[in-house]
Amino acid sequence: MKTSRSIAARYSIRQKTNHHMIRHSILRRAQIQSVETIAVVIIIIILIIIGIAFWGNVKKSDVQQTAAESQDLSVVEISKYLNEMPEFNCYQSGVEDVNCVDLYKILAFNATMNNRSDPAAQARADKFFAFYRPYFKNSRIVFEQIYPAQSAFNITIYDNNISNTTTRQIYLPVIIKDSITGRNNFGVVIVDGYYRP
Amino acid sequence: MSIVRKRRNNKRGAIELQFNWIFVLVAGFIIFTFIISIILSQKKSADAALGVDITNQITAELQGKRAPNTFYEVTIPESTFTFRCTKDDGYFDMKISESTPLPTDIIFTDKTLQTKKLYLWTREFRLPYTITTVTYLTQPSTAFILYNATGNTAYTVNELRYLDEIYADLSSTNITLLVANGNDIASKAGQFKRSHIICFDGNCPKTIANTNVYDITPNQTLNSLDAYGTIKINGGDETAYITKTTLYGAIFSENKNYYECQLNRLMGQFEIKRELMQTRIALLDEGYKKINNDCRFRLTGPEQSIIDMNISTSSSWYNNDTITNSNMKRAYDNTLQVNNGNEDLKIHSCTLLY
Repeated sequence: MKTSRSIAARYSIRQKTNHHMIRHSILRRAQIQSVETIAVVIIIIILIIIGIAFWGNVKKSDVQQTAAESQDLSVVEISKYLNEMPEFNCYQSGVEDVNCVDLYKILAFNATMNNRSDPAAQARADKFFAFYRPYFKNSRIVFEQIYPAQSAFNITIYDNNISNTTTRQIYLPVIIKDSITGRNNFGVVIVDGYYRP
Repeated sequence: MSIVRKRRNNKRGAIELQFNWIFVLVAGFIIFTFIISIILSQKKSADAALGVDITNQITAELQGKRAPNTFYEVTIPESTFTFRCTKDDGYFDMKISESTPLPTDIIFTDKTLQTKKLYLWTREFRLPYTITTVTYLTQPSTAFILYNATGNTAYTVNELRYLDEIYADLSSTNITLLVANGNDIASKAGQFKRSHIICFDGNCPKTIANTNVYDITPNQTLNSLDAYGTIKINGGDETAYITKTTLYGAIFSENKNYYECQLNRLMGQFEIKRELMQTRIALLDEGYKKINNDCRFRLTGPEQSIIDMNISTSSSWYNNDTITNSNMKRAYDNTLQVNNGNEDLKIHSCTLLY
């Protein structure tokens, strides 16, 4: 009697122990599976974030390149305006001379734009500056007569310098015509574009 | 294992299984929403980029096509253009997806264009020297109809001549151009999305849907369309024009406000260049004085005419009240004087003004 009871008791204990062990292993497997699922989701999220960061960097360099091209185009645009402006071009009976600028038109523009000797002249200069700023934007425009050397000059007709800038420069060769003497001289128009880097 | 415990374990398993599914659904929904939001934001930025591309193309066309008296067709993806000109300060911009300021352009057009093809026509504005090049913008679905009044209200010889002149100018382009009279004007106008009907001296058709009527009254003394006069748009208050360049500007504009805003901007440019011309003449005078040349005396007349052409005393280049009949008359009369002075300079081999 004592033996069968102890055998039964031992069997019951063994059963309980086995049951505990099985349960324990099932729980552990379930835990491992949950951890695996969460890890997969986290890795996918990390990959997506890396992909977005990489794409963002590529876009940023595209935008920088586009901005640089836009700055170059802006200086070209200013040069194109200058080339077409009747304020500087030579005319003969209403017909435009190609690549020719009139010396006295340059002098008149300079006298109007840069004369700030009295309040009336200052007001006029401000009015002209406000009018031409959309054309010339952040740039400096210089007419330089190169030949003949003895009558060389350098006139800055417009300067909207802003600080902390980089510059892009274009040179446009022109004929500078002296209306009074009728003489044609060689010169260049220098367009400096100022841009914040 | 007891039955109770077995049932409990089964239930827990079932709950865990369901929880897994719920977890998968929620996570899937979040990822799906995230991907859709990326797609939508990409679509939005692609649309914005397309709008910017079209804007850049159009502004390049507008700035590139400054050769006067030329006509261009520009083909673009179907877009809606909205033009806005603020009469108070002369601010002018064009909107496709984003608003782009156009401070240097003078464009006469309808307020809104929805099209995949634009017609650009340029003309020089001279008084009498070149001031700037003006652009007229329209679309194939807008027709310009010259109204030929017949019967009791038939046009005079001069008015028929003006019709011929406008017809000759507009037919040198591909702009949709028709001639109609009282019998067929309604049917012809009805074929187009929008029509601009041009008529003279009050002899105009009655109101027709989707049309603007431009009633032109040229100055009777000068008998020239290229001088100055008045124009009424859609029967409203009359406004002034000077030279055919601004007359066509009125004909291409949708309403009086827009036309006058652009004309004010144009006259602001005229005033700037008038002052430059005045300064140039003063410098030429000093130059001739140094070399003791008699040409300086021939500059006096044109110089005074240039001074008399002043139509604005504003401290700003833009003035919103320059458009009056008296200003246009004064500007035109002095234009003739300057032209005569220039001819005189030419005869005497002096430096020309233009």
